[in-house]
Amino acid sequence: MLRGQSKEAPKRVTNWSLIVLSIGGQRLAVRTEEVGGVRPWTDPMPVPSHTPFVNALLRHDEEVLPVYDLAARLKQQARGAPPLCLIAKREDGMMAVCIDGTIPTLTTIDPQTLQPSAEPASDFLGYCVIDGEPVPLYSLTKLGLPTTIHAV
Amino acid sequence: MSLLGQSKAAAVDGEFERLLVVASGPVKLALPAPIVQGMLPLGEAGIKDIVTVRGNTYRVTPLAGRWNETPSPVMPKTLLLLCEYHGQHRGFTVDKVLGLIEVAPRQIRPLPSHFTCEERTWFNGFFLFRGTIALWVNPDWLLAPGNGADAAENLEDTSPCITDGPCLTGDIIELEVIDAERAE
Repeated sequence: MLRGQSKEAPKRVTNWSLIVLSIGGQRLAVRTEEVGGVRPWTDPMPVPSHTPFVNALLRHDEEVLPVYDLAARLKQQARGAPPLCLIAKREDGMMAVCIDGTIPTLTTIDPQTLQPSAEPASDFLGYCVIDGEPVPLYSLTKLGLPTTIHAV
Repeated sequence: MSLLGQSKAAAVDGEFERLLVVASGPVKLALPAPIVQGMLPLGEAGIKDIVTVRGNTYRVTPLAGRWNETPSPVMPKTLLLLCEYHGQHRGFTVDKVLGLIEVAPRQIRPLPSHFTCEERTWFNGFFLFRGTIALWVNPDWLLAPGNGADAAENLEDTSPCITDGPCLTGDIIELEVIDAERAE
């Protein structure tokens, strides 16, 4: 019976495809589906701003993207000449993130192996083990967004 | 062609904002041209707190100071913009004037929603300018009256002062002498 079979069917675990990159030599991972592209970094235009880590606009032809300074948040400085520009598909619109010039690599993980973290940031999903080392995994769709606090 | 001529043409169809684009540090800022009464090369006079020109008194601050950014060091080419808006007079020092530009409303884009704090009040938007971007400063905020120690009309306790003199009035640059260009 179909109903019975569905109860017995094992849950299929879909692996996550990740892009592993570095900022200031520090490795981190993001989900591939949340990346809009990678291209050479160009000089951004600073924008006076009080929004944490959002303080520049990056122009690429007619397209203009706000810049999220993930390197500053991590207390790092992107390396490489030139560094690369990661396009983050944040839920409210694309953002540019400066990353190291080292070409990012692809990998997959079983999301059930993610090690949770006590860090309260809404964009931090936990640690995944890549090449035997824990690598922080960030959600680009939530990048820099404030953590939602639910009333009890 | 002078701004004076182009402003007449723009007034007919009403399609363009006339903006004076300046550099303040690495930031390119666009001020509505009608609020800029003139520009004054500081030269050896340096920055003063108060300037009186043609009978109007202007409190002077670096434009970068409006955002609490560190202003650039004063250079011989530092310019003082003399601004007036709704009766408020203010002077702002800038590093350089990049040009006068006419921008169609459709070319002005809102600040991305990712910017969520006071900067949404500071800027009306931005537009593409000479391979980079210029931020359109909100004059309502820039020349907001009487809400702090640097308020335009709060002129007590000011010591250094320069006033009209042959050298100053002779150096005032009117916007009419600058050619306007069209935005990209």
